[in-house]
Amino acid sequence: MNRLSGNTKKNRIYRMTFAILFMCFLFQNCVNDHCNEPLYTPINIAFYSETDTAKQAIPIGLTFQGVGTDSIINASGQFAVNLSLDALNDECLYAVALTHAESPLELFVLNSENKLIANGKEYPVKRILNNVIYEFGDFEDQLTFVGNVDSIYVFRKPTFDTLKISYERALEFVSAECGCMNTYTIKQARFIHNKIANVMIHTQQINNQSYEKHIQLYLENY
Amino acid sequence: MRSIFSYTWRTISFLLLLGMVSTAEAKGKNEGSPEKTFYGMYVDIDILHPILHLFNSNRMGVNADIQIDLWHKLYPTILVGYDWFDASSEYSYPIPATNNQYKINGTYFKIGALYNIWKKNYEKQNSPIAYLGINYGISPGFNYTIENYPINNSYWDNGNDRSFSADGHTTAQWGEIVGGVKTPIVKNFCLGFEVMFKTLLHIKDQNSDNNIIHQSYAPGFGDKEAGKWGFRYTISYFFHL
Repeated sequence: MNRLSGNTKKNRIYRMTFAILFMCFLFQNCVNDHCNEPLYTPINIAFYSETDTAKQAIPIGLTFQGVGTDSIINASGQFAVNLSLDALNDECLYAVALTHAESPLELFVLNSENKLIANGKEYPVKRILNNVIYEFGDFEDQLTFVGNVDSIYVFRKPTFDTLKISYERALEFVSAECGCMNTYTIKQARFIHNKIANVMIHTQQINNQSYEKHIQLYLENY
Repeated sequence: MRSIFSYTWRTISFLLLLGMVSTAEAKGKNEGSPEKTFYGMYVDIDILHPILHLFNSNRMGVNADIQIDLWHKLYPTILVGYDWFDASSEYSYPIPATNNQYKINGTYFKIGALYNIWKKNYEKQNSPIAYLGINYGISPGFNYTIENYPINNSYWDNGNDRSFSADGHTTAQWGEIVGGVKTPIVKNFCLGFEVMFKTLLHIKDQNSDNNIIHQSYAPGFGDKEAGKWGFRYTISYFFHL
């Protein structure tokens, strides 16, 4: 009798173990993972003074625009921007506009047709964001305007530089949860001289693990 | 969230198994000495994965193995299986994806050896066993298909994001420590369950045309990140010599 009840007890324990394990296994298959990996891989560009290379410069008015785009980035001393995915020609051209203390003050007028008039020429207003007007014309004839949307503006005319970055691009399929990520290796950085005096590649590899400065731009008289 | 639940239950499961195995070992008294070397062999079929497929249509798998009974102590094992995963719905990055697909399928093999730590009844051809062992697993040339995963280029493309697609095959290798029990139920038919602790040795990343592809799954191993523990519930037939 005792032996029988012992066997029943043992069988019950086995059955319960099977059942618990089975239920646990079913349960774990109902839960999904999430992507915890940062996939943003911008190029970080910082400005420095040419005269004091350890000193980070913060230009008064600085805007960046990828040539061929109409996206304008406002920045102070450092900014992060995407590189292009053009597989045929892996290089990016940026227009860099910045003002400084010596930039000449100019008068601009916004006429009734919302066009900016500067030096007797009219420029269509492409974008008004947060009460600030931005305008980039053709690359050969770039202008940027910054000011409140009123009739008359007085501000400093910026200088323009061009920054060209050549790179190799790799596409990484990271995981089922995260999908794809781009990584880059900077090959060359060139510039058209105006306010930029020099360019240095600080870190060549651009990936989601690196938060370092990749490019250092040295400015004259900052 | 997943890690808390999965690790809790896995720990509980493993402790239960360890408890059963140690109880078995403590009670185990061998009766006599082996009468022969080769007692027979088990043919095991996994019943868990086909049942799981009924609850989760994104994965399907079958596997079967042969275990040779030497002296009722040592069980050299060879296993063959096939797994199919559809991980398309797991994509959770904020960039929206349309009709994205990530599917993996392929055959895998395991070879290993188990040692019976339960009492050995040498007079019987087929008796309950509890075992510990190791396996080496390989999935050679399993297939993957990746379609329509978004690549963010919105700054340059004015919002027209691009997508990435690729397919091919690659190889995964892993090692396992296994523990399990198996007991006869009717004549030569047995039921068993097995716990595996798996360590991924290598999944070959595909690297071509500046595209690097990491796999999240491997047939036989499962989820690369969360697949360290595995289970099998088997129904077996013991063939006498």
